[in-house]
Amino acid sequence: MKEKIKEFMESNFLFEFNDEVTEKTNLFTEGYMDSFGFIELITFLESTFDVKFQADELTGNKFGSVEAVIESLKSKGISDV
Amino acid sequence: MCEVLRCSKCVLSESFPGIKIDKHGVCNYCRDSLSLDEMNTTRDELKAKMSIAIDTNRNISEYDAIVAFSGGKDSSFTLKMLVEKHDLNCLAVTVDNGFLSDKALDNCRAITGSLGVDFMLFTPAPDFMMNMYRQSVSKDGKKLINRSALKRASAICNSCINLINNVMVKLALQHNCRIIAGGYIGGQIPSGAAVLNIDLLEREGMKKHLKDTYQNLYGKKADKFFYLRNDELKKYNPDKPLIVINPMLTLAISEEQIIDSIKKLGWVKTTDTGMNSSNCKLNDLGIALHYKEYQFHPYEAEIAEQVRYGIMDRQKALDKIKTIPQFDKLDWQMKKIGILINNE
Repeated sequence: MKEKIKEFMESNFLFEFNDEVTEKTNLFTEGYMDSFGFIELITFLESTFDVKFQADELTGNKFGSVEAVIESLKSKGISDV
Repeated sequence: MCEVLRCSKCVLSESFPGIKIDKHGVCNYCRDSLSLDEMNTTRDELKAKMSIAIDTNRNISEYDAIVAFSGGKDSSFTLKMLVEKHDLNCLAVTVDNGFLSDKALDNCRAITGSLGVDFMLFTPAPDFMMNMYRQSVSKDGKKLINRSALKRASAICNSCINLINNVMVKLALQHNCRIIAGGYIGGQIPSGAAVLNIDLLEREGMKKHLKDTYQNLYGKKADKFFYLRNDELKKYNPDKPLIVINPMLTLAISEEQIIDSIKKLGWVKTTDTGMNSSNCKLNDLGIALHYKEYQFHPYEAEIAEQVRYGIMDRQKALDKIKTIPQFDKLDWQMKKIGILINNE
């Protein structure tokens, strides 16, 4: 599942994970994901993991990195990540 | 040019980021997209959400909305919609990037004149703009273009969009206006972006660490064009965020219908802006450079979505995205921004 998220990010945001861009990297601040990319990411997560995020769950940089995304999914009861 | 593999339903090519074309020739973007009925429902929901956002944020100051208005067909239609349908008191703002077609400027005046809208033309210093475009395709300059945005537009377009967004935010703050409107259409950005709340403190914070890069590449004026000053930020109340609306994302409307509608306001098609723009004479160079680097047309995403939902005929779409502007026809634009391309 984690690989699926990384694959989505790599192919949609035109970069590759490596020593510099890691699962901890904030893709927002490092210029890989903009607000529209964020909407695409949320749409992908909702359809892939069959969850629905409420507006207040989307604030506070909870989806900036792979690690943050996984934590957010876990908070919705998705543990198989 | 050799034939590329494309989705048989929409027109996305095999080079498009994240694409997977199955044995039936259909891409994952088509497979995962909403059905036509679901999309119509989504559009209706967004329309309702946008109406609420507009009603909550109007009648606060002298202008209800600052409209990013290029004089092109989509922003012209957007302005018409905001005035005629939503009865908003708008300030239409055009940024002359040094490549604005004369006819597009005539269209700006015709449309705002017909609609009775105040119109502001803002012309940033040409040396700054030419350097910005030159840097946008340089190795260091690319760091300032968001990677996910390159799926939807060329680096040249994105650099301009970043600047224009900042100009609109500054004007909204100056006029104490809470609504900023743009003319994005379906496929250019996700449909969820029809109504967006923008937290300016968060927005500034996220690009703070890029300030040195901006200044190194763009000089002192970088701050003015890409950041907000502290005194400007003080005018912002985080409890009342700015609302960005893109009304056209709530519609299913064809290019022909848009043009028919705005023609009645005096809009005339430009002849010097290439196949995909109706205002900018630099657009074709952006397309050519983008295609050279990524091997897909920067308009593929938006055109594919229009085909997917029956808004554009597939053959017309193919004609648009298969035609890649050639560098030897773009000599004056390259000279103007100061780049040299070896077109082999």
